Amino acid sequence: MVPFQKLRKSKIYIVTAIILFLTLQNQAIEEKEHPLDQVYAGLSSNAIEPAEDNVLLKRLSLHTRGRLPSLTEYQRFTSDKSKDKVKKYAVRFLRDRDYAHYWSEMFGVLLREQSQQRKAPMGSYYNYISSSLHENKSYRTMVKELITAKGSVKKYPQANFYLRDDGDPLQVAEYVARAFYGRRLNCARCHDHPYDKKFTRRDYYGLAAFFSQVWVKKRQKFEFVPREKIHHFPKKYQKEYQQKMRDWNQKNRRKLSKAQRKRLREKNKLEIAEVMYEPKLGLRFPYLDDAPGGDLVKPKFPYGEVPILDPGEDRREVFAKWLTSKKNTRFRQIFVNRVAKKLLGFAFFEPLDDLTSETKIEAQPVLEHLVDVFHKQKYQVKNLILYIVTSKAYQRRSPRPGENPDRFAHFRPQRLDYAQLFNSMVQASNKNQVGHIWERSSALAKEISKINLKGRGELKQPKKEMKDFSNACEVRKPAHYNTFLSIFGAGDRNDIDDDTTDLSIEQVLTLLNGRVTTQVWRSASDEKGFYFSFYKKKNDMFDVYRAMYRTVLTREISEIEEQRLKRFTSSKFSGRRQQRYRKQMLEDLLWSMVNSDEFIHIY
Amino acid sequence: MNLFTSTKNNINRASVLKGLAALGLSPLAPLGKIFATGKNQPESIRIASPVKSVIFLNMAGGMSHVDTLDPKSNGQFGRASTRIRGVSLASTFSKTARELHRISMIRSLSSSQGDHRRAQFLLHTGYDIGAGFPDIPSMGAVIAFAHQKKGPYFPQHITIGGRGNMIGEAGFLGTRFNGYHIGNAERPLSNVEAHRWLSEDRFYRREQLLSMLNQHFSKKVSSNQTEKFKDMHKAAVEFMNSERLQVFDIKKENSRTAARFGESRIGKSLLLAKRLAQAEVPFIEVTVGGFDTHSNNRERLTQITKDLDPAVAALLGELGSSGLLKQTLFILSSEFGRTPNMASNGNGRDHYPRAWTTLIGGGNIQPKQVIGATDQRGEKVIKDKKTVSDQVATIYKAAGIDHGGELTSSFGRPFPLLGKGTPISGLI
Repeated sequence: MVPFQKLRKSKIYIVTAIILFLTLQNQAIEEKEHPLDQVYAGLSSNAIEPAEDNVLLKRLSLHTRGRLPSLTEYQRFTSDKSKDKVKKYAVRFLRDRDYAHYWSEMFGVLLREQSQQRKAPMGSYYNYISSSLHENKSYRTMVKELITAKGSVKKYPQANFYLRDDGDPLQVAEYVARAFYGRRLNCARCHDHPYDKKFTRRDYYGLAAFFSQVWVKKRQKFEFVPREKIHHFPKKYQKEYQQKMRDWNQKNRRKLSKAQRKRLREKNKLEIAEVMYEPKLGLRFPYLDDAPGGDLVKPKFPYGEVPILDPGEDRREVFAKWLTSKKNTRFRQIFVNRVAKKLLGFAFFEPLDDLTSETKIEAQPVLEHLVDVFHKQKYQVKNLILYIVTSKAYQRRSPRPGENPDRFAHFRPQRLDYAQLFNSMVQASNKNQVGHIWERSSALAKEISKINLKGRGELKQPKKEMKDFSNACEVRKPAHYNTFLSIFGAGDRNDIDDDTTDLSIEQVLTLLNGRVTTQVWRSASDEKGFYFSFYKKKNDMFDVYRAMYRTVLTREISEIEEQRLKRFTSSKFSGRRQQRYRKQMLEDLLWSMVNSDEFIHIY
Repeated sequence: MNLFTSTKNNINRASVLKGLAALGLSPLAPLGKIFATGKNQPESIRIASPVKSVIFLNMAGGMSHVDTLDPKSNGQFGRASTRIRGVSLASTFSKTARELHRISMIRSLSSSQGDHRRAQFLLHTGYDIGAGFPDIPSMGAVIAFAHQKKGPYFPQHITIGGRGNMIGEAGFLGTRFNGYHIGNAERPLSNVEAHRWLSEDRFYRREQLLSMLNQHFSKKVSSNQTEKFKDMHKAAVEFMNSERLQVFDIKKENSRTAARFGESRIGKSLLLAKRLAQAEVPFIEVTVGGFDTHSNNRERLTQITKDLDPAVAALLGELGSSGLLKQTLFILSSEFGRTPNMASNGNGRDHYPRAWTTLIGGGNIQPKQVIGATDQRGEKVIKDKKTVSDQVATIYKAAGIDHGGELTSSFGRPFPLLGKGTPISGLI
C-alpha cells in the first residue's frame, strides 16, 4: 500500500509541477520581449526609454491614419491601464478607413497615381490602391497584379499602371527597376552603366524585353499594334501583321468617303483605354553608331539569368514571379525600408530606390529581421506596420534638450507631411466634429498574424468639386499648384517619390496667414461647433481650452500654461468683457496651436 | 505692403519687435542654417562677371519666328527696321526693334525637340529629358544657387506669369532655390500679411500664446528638425517685416515709367521684373503664354504682341538708360519656332524646332550682334547653327557660372551643369 500511496503523492507532485511549469511558461510568453526589440537592442549603447502615452498615441495615429487621435481616443487611451493597449489601438487604427486613405498617399506617390488620367475613369487608380490597402491585400499580390495587368482600365483598374508610361517598355522597365527592385538603371539606356560595370546596355534591354508584349490602346476600338512597334515583331510576323491591317482597311475604310470615315471614327471611339497584350511582340536592340543592333533582345533578369520561356508565354508573368519570389530579398528590402523610414524615423539605406553593392546599410540585422518577418507575414502591409509599432523600438521617446541625439535610441522628430497636416488641420477646426467609428470594440487575438486587419468603413474618394474636404485623399492628385497640399509638398506624381518634405518659407507663411489656417481659427468660436459643447456644460472657458488642447495637441494643459491662460482670460486681452464665451481668445489660441512646433511635428 | 505698418490699427514696428522678442526671436539673427547647402558650394561654379541679375522672358508655346524676330516673306506681318544695319524685326515687335541695338540676337537656334514639355525642359537645362539625370535643376535655380546671398531671407529665384514644366524647378538643389512664384504682378505676395481683422492686441496675444506653447515643447523635445522649423519661422516673420518687400510693389514706380510698360498683365509683369533686377534678385523668369498658334496665328500673335512689344521695348529702354543693363542679363527665347508654311487649319502654324530666334544682351554680351541666319523662308539654318545647349552655356558664362562646372546630385554623383554646348563666341 505504501508504494501506492507514495505513487499517488508523487503523482500529485508531478501534476502540480506541470501546472506550475505551464503557468510560469505562460507568464514568460506574456512578458516575452518583442522579437524586433531583441535585434534592435544592439544598435545603441543608450537606453531605450518609452515615449509618454499621449505622445505615443499621436505618433501612432498620424503614422497609421495620417490624422490626430480624436479627443475620445485620447481620453480612453491615456486612462487605459492594459498592457497591450498599443496593439489594441494599432489594430483599430489599421482597420479604420483612414488607414487606407492615408497610406494611399504613400503608395500613390510610389506608383505615381493621378486622379485624372486621359481615358481612365476618375480616381480609378486611387480606388484600386485604397481598396487593396483597406482589405489588407498582400503587397506581393498587388505588385503582381500591377505588372501583369491587362484589359480595360475600367474593369481592371490596375491597368492604370501601364497607362502611366503609355506602355513604353523602356520607361516601364526603368520604373519597375526603381520602384520594386531598387535600382536606377536609366543610364544604361544609352550606354553601359557608368557606375556599375556588371550592368550593360544589353542587360537594360533584356529587362525591358519583359515588358515588350504590351501596348496601350487609346483611340479606337479597332486598333492594331501601333505602326512604330511593328518592327519589334519577328520578321515573319511583320508581313502577316501588315497584311492584316491592310485587309482590315480595305474592308472597312478604303471605300468610304471622308464623312463616312469620320462617322466610323466617332462610332468606334474608345472612351476608356485598354492595355493590350500581344504575345509575339518583342524588343529590338537599337542600332547605334558604335554598336551592332537590330536583333530581338532575349528577356534577362537584372543581374541574373536568361529565363527559358515557352513560346507565347506572358513574359510579365515570368518576371513578376521572379521579382516577388522568396529568393529575391531585394523586393522586400526596398519596401520594408520605405515603411521603416516612415515609422522608425530612419532609413536603413538611401536613396530609397537605389540599393547598390556600394550602398552602406545601417542597422542591417534589423532590416534582415524585418525582411524575414515580412515574408512570414505573407507580405501583408498592415501586419508589418502592426509588428513594428508594437515594439519598444517604435515606442522610444524623442531626444530631450541637451541630449546628444541618437537616432537608434531616440525617435527623431518628423515634420507632418501634407496629408497628415491637412487632416490634422481639418480636425483642429470646429467643423469636422464627427468622431470616428472606433467605439465598436474588436476581439483581440493573441497572435498578430491571426488578427483580422480587414478594413472597416466605406472609403472616401477624390472629389470632382474642389470644396468641402474632410481628408487629403479627397483632393485630386496631383494637387493643384495653388493648394495647401501642394505648398506642403504634394508633388506632380510624374516621377517616383516626387512628394517633398522640404521646408520652405512659403509653408510657414501659409501656416501663419493662409486661408486654410484662417478657416481653422475662425471656426473656433462657432457656437454650433464641437468646442462650444464643452462650454455649455458649466460655462467654464477652461473646459473649452482643455478640449482644444486634447484635440489639437493631444495633451493636457501644463500648470504654467494654466496660470498664463488665466491671466489672458482676465487681462485686457479678453476682448469684449461682457461676453463670457471668449470667442477671440479661442480663435487666438487655436491659431497659436496650429502654428506651434508641437503641432507641426511627430515626436 | 508691409504687414505691421499698413494695418489700419497702425501697429508700429517697435511694438512688433517687442512682440518678436517675446517670441524669443531676434529679427536680425543670421539665417545661415537655412541656407547651408550640403556638399555643394556656390563658389565652386562661379566665374567673374558683372552680371548680378538675369531676366529670362520665356515665350511659352513656341513663338512663330517668321512672324516675330526673323521676318520672312512668308510671314503674316510687315517689317520694322532697327538701328542695326540690315536687320529688321517683324512689325509685331516694332517698338522693340527701336531698342534692339542695346542687345544682340541668335537667329540660328535649332533642336530636334518638337514637344512642348521636352523642348521647355531643354530650354531650361540644356539637357534632354531622360538623359540619365532625373531631378535636375533649371538654370534659374543654378544661377540663384551660385549667386545666393547671406543675410535676411529674400527670394533668390522668382518666376512670374505662367508656370509648369521646368519653370522654377530647383531639382536636387532643394526647395529654397525653387522659383518663388508670382501669378499676378499686382498681387505679388501671398500670405505675408496677417488677417485684416486682427488688431494689435490680438497680435500680441497670439505671439504670447505661441511663445507659451513653444516654450513648453522646447523643454521636452529638441532636434535638428525642430530647430530648422524654428529658423524658418524666424525667416518668415522677418520676410513679413522686410523693408525690401516694397521691391515687389509696382505701384512705387513713377507713373510715366509704368505707362511705358503698359496697363496689360505682361506690362506689369515686366515692370515687376525690372524692379526685381534693380534689387539684384539673381534670376527672374517671366513666362508669357499663348504662342502655341495652331490656329488663328495672325490674330493671336497680334493680340499678344500688342501688350508684349511695348513692354519689352520699355524694359530694354529702362535697363539701358539707367545703366542697369551692365549688370543685368536679358534673354527672350522660346522652346521652338513654328512652321514657315501655314499648316493645320490653314490659318495656323505647327511646332517647328528646326529654326528659331533668341534675343540676348546685357552684362558682357556684345551688343548689336546677329549670330547665324536662316534661309529665305525661315525653314532651315544656313549659317552658324546653334543648339539650345550652346544658348544655355552662353547664359551661364554671361551670368558668371562656369558652364563646365559640376554639382553633386542627390544621388551623390557628379552632375555636369551641361553635357554639351559651348558659349557662343561672337557674343561673349
